[in-house]
Amino acid sequence: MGEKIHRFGPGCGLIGLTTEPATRADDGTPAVILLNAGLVHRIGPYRMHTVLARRLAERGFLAFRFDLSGLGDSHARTDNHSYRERTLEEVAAAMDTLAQHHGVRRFVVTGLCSGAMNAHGIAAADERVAGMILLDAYGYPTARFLFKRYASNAMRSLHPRKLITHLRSLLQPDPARGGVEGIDYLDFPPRQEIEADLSKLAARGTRMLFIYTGGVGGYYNYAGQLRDNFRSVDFGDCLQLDYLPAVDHTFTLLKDRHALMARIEGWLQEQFPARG
Amino acid sequence: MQNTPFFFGESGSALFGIHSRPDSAPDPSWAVLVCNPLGQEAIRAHRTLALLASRLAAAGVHVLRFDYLGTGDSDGDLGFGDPGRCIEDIRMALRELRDIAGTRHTAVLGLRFGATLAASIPDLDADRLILWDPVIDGADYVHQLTSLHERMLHDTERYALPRVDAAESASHELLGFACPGEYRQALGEFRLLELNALPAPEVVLFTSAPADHYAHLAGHLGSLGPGFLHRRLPDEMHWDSLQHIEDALQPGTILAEAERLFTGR
Repeated sequence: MGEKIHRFGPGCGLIGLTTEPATRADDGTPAVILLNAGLVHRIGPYRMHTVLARRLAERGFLAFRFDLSGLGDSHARTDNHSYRERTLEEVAAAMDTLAQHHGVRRFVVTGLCSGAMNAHGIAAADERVAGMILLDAYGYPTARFLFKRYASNAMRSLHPRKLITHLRSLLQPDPARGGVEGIDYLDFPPRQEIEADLSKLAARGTRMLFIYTGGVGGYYNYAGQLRDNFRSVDFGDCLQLDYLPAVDHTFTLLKDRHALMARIEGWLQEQFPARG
Repeated sequence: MQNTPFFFGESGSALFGIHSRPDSAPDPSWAVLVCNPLGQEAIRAHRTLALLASRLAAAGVHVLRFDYLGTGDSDGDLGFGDPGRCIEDIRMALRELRDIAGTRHTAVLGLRFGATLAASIPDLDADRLILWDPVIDGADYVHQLTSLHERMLHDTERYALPRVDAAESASHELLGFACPGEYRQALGEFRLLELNALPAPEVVLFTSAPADHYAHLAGHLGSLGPGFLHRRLPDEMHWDSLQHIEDALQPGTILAEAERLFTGR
């Protein structure tokens, strides 16, 4: 296993590191790209990306962690491209760099929180993406979500006025927020947009691992909510979906992080077995 | 200004560093080595230290940032960080910086435990030492982080239910990083109030709010010689706040203050 520094992207202003397996067969095995989680630099929350990259390399996967512009050690950009445009361009540049220097043609993109949203965006936009691992990605309320949430709230606050407020907010979503008061919608794209992307990705055979934690209970609170969000999508065998209600958003405890990394390794080996 | 990332040191125990090189100053006179905090504080501070390096380099100062062995992008996995090894790494990084910068003067700037480590090296061989919010007492620090870790396990903003299943983690983890007993013991041996000489001809102490926390240390360092300067910063860094353990550090006034130190502007 060895690590190599790359400077790439616009003006070579982006910085990333590949972690290479000791031996890597030229058999189409995808490289794994680890995207920034929020504002955390490329080593990931509690250094999870560095450790994961090295564990993946020991299992034959080339891994790449890098900083998007304006994060970590990458330069901020001064052009007027939108965040989405910049992100797509920069992840595509990462894939180009890996293709040029390591001969990789397929990729798995992975990210937590905003990184998950970015991973989804690049997977939908670039056919070189063969798989995606999204941790605490988007979520949309369902009847079951609302029942669980409001039953829980009601148990905590049985005051009639509070109950009425809850019921009102349930029946009359705040149009300015685009949702129900008190639920963490973040800035998720419209559900239909994500649904169309997922249909496209499933039709393309993109392998998907979604993992949700109890840290995003404000918008996701039961196992299988994602499938309920996107009932029209025929995932076939493309989707695996985990729900970890006891775990926090950033996998702070070592045992949670090790379990996550083992899950990711197992999923990658199952979905992309070495050929020959 | 150019940033050059590179590895240095022995293969298998190589350290990751980034050299920020000034491109306008014809004869840079200063080179600064930045010593990271340990554990989660290093992640919180990363971007601010990168901005600090860029600011100093733009002002004509060479800067080297690096990750201690087993942390960040450096080789190995030492969790929170091995204090004894970190000191060896600071020495090695200082030699590396001298080789690549070739300046007349060298300074070391440490943040939190990075400052504590640098100040505890008796033969540091730097012309200026800048201590930014140093950890004054290692044992108190371990106690404080252990307490934060225990409170985190019961923080309902983080966990839907208290993590009673992980209560024992407080004995070998500190806020996301493995920190076994031998590291805790080693951390506990660092006490800046027991310094009996200034570690460098010039020592500058930058302290964030609240100001009174560092009064005792400032008094002690001031008693050790004439080369001591204390600058109070108005910024609050929330080092001991559970609500801020994952918040990126805001640069605040340190960028301008550090630049002024090296340029007089």
